[in-house]
Amino acid sequence: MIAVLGLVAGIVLGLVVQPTVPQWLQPYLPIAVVAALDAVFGGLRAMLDGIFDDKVFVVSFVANVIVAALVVFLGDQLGVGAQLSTGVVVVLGIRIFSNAAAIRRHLFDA
Amino acid sequence: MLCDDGRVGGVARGSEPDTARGRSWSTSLLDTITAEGLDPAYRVAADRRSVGGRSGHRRSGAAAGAALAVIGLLFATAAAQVRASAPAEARTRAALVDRIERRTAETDALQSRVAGLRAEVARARDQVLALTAMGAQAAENLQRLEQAAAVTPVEGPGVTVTVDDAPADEQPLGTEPGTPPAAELSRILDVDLQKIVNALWAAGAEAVAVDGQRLSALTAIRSAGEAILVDYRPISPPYTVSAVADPALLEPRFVDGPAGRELRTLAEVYGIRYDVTPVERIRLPGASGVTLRFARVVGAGS
Amino acid sequence: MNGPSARFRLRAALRPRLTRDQLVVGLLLAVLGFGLALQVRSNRSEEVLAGARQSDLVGILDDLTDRADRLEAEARELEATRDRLASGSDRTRTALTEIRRRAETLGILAGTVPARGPGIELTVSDPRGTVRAAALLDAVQELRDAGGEAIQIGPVRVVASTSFVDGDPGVVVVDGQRLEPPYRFRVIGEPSTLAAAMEIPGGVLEALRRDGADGTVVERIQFTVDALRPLTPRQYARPASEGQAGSG
Repeated sequence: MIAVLGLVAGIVLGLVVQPTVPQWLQPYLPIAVVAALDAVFGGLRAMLDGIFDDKVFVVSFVANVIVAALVVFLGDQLGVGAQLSTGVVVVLGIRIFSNAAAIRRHLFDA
Repeated sequence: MLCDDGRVGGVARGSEPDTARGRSWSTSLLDTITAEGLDPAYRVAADRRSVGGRSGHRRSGAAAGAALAVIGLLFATAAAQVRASAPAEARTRAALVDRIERRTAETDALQSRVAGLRAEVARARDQVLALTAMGAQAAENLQRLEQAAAVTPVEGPGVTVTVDDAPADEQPLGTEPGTPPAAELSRILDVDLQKIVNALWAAGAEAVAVDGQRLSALTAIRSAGEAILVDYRPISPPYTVSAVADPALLEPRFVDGPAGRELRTLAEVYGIRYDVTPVERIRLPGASGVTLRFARVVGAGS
Repeated sequence: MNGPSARFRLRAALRPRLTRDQLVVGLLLAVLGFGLALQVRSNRSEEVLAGARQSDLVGILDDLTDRADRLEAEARELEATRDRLASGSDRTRTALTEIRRRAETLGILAGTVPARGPGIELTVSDPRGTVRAAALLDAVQELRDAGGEAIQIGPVRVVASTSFVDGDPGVVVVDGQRLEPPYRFRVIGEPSTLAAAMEIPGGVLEALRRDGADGTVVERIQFTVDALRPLTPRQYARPASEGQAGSG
């Protein structure tokens, strides 16, 4: 319950405050969002599987975002930023899909 | 991705069964990614907890709530930013391209209307002037000037030079495989068209047009981004440069001159396609938009 | 490998039967095909402009608007003249005035009369002999694009047919005449626009300096471009009709 409230509170805060993102941070925002989505779906599936652990959730979220941002940053420095960013999104997307499939199986038996 | 049970990059270290080695590398990587969508850390932590005798899962605590709050903030910020820029950007860009296409069609229609009006005025004027000898002479002088200034349509024998970008699937020579193709260099640039036009004039052309736009003393060929503009009008490949002249002289002079040599080099190295064809009869329209805003004849009134 | 059962199933699927499954699948595939066709068509029509950056697009649109305005103004003027010629009380004088005005404009364009107005003087010095025909050609294109209406380089009047060819090192043949540095351009137009066009990053002055030459721009409020160019007779280009009716 607290988790859901936390999510809603964060969204409302973001919509109300509307923080301006600094220019250098802007390219990493989409990657951070995808990494966060991956952590959320993973946590949701863990909860439905009955093995949710909030420490693991926090660590997986923070680590995903940092690693994804690092990979994209490294790619930008080496000139393959767009390609690496695509690769990161692809892999995270696959994980999101497979977690979503497991969640769907739990919820709908389908 | 971060997996903390000894796997690196999704492939088990040192524990590949023999059957896995028979499969291709990429297949097993994909299998691993899709098989373990769930972070194995959850399973490990749950096992650890059940060993320690506690409940199967921990009810979501404050830490999870805080993390989710941050996630929510992240989503909202990203969404707000996208809504602020992308619709405006998408709207602006699509609207811009649309307006450019419509405006181009409008100016083309305007151009033909101006050409028609000019012909009408010339007719009416010549009719009036034909009534006097002085008027007829003035009309004749004007005709010669009009030809020299490229404002009237002309026709005659000539040469057509057609150039096109390198086909998309051709890599320019000299680039290593794996490096991004030199897209810039396999496209025709404005300087290429300028040099072709320059060479045609040098070879004795009497009238030149690019993609149907007649070149006058005011006409510039330049580029804006990837598009080339002639007389402020965007044109697209393949580009046709037509010149009226004696084809027997013009074609060899052009082909053997520096522009012809450069075209051959560009074709060899970057795959640019070109073609030089003599034509029996070309018709070139007159240049449009010849209003002078600053230059005045010496001795004339304001 | 397809076993006989799989081939049988495939053939069975392709046989048209009116079942709900077939209808649903058919409908979904129709939607997919429709989407594909739309996507392919929209991709091809935007090819040239799709690659341009937004600022380039805005620039192109501005240029097109300028062109449209110019054409509009010309159309209005032509209509007024036509009406005066058709039914004015002073048709002969109108006709002669019209001819004289037109002859002045065309004379400036053709280089047969001197022109006066504001503009810039561009002096290109070439101590090392690195300035070639291509550099002068590029400068003239930029000057025209920035609204240059009458241009001369030294004693040579630049018109539409002016060509630039490399001669010996340090010599450029402009319109058949040998020119040596320093190349003195006189351009009539809007002075600040012309000067800015020369000085933009990646522009003419920067390219000259990169090659070891140099250029200076002086804005003038009023000066003359008095190099003249005789009319050359046309041997192959004959006047053509305007397309519809009318004499050229």
